[in-house]
Amino acid sequence: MRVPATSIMRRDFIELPEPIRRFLGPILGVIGFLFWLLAVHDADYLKMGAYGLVSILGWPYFVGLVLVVAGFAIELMRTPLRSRWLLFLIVLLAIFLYGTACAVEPVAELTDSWIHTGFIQYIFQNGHPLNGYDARFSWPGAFSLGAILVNFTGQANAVGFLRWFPIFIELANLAPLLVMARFSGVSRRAGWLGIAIYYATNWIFQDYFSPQALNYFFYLVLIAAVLAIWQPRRIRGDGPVRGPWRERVAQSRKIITHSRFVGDDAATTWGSIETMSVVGLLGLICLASAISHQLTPYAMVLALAACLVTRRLGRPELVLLVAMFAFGWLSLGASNYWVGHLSVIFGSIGAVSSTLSSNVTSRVSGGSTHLLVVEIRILLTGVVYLLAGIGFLRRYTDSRLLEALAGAPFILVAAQSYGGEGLLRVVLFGLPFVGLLAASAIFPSQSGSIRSLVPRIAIGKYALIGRPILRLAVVAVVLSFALATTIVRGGNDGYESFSSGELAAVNYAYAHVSAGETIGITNYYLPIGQRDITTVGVYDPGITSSYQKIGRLLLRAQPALIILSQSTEAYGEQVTGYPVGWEATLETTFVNHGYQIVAHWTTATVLKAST
Amino acid sequence: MSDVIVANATAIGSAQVVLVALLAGVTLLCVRALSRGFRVTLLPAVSRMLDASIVVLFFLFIVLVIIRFKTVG
Repeated sequence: MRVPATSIMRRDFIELPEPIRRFLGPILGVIGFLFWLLAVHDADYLKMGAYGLVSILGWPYFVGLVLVVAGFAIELMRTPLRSRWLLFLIVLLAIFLYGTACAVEPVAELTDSWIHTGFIQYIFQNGHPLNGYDARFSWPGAFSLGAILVNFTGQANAVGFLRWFPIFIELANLAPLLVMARFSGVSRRAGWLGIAIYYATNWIFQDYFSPQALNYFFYLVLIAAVLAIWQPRRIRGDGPVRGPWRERVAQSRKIITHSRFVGDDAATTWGSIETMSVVGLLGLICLASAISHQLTPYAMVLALAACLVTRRLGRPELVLLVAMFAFGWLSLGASNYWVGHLSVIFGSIGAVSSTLSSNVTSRVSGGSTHLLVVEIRILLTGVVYLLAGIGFLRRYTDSRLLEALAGAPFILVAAQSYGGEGLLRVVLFGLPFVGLLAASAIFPSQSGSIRSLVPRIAIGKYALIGRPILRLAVVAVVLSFALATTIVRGGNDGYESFSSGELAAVNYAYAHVSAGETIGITNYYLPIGQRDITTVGVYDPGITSSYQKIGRLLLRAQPALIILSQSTEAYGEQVTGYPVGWEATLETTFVNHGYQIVAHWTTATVLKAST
Repeated sequence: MSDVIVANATAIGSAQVVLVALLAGVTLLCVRALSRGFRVTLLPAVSRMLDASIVVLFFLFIVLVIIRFKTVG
């Protein structure tokens, strides 16, 4: 006999008073948030160890995270679903995973975000990008937007935008994610869980202050709008087909039809003016993306093509439009980048094994702590894809849209290694859809013209315990992913995050260096590059086999000032395997070769060449 | 057509030619999207010609981009 869901819920919470039972999920969320505030308050940045952010997060963080995830699971299993409270709990989850580093670390992390600030500063001061300086200046759209924002907000530079940008852009991403979850064809529960899984597994950290973060938002908005406008048109069958596999073959053959490629297999309930207005805006977003980022427009082309073949795009012109914008800008606007070194763009086409090697194998290196972080990243990614595979097998659907969107970005890996980061970006572009598929492993949709590939699990007499088991499954999946992401997302913070002292040292160096002189650094990991990009050079010897070689190269280059810092030292120790205290040895070497210490902080030292 | 444009491979792949092909392609795509989007009835022959023009122009554009890579890069 089928037991009503509401009666099962009543049995679960029979002991609790009505108001608490009704708002148990949000109450747990609020208590969890209070624990987060306590954790952030107690975290001492200067005590950060080799495991990065997690090494300074005390027990309140983990208790808070457990409470928020438990609250989310309770709210997710309610009938009916209450979107307002689910949204509240998802926002709390995002704050835990993306806001903790922003709140705990004294200045913005990642050198690239500071370098991007320098690019914006140049455009802000000169009104145009700097040709031939850096490849990223060949796609200046996002930097120009940054300069406009600096001007609009009356700031002197973009430094003020850096620190809280990751949580800001991740919360901005929530809007298109909600739309995608609603219109992707999964059940409502799977949609909410898919968003939670996306947030709980996005360790990739492309949400720092950068063009790719902005363009990823564009990418999500584009797909969300397309899914909201068009639904798959019901295809007329060819008569009864015997056998499930023959039925699948018959369905698959319809992919390659003229009507599919001209968009006639997608239908919309929107009016013409509404549809064309949104399509026009999407065209502008695609144009903005084409001039802002090297990779995202091509991911957009693949995603739109995936929507087209799965009957979710009614205007195929968009696919060609984005492709023409992307290739057009590459050919015309970014010629400064490719003239003279075309092999950078086309050298890795088809070289899948070397691309995989540069994207995976070469990253599994470094000290034991760094290796552990990298291995957990690979494991986490593998597990979420495995869960997505189960979701693919279990769900009924009208369109294999999610599978196509999750798989399409992999074509990028065959075309470009993207400096060893291609696979990371591919995972990122597919993650929202992989998350929804993974959620379908727990809450598979039970209706649709395309049947599931495995038999339905009949709960039958186990219906009474089915709901608590599902709740436990949600907690187990989201919590384990969130804990792993807490460890690995901040796993590099030992050298990718910076102290106030390091920023003060860099500012001191900029204030005391003359135009035409150079600042020397032992490696990349400093908050440097945010100003004077045309007049002050930064000399980084690069990764070398020994730290003594770094010393020799710096002494040969004779920079006016040398900065030694905690982050650069941590990178040497954790990733390149230099001995503990290697920068202290270098400091002595520099002092013995004519440099003197002119400024010192707990975490940084500035040395100046004697005149 | 200017004989300068077809003088040699460099001219064919020059920025102006790529830009013209790009603008022409975008214009045709907009025409198709607007006519379909606003349900403007086109003669089947016109519709087929429009589709064929877009496909040809798109491939021409890609060829021009490749030529530009070869000649300038």
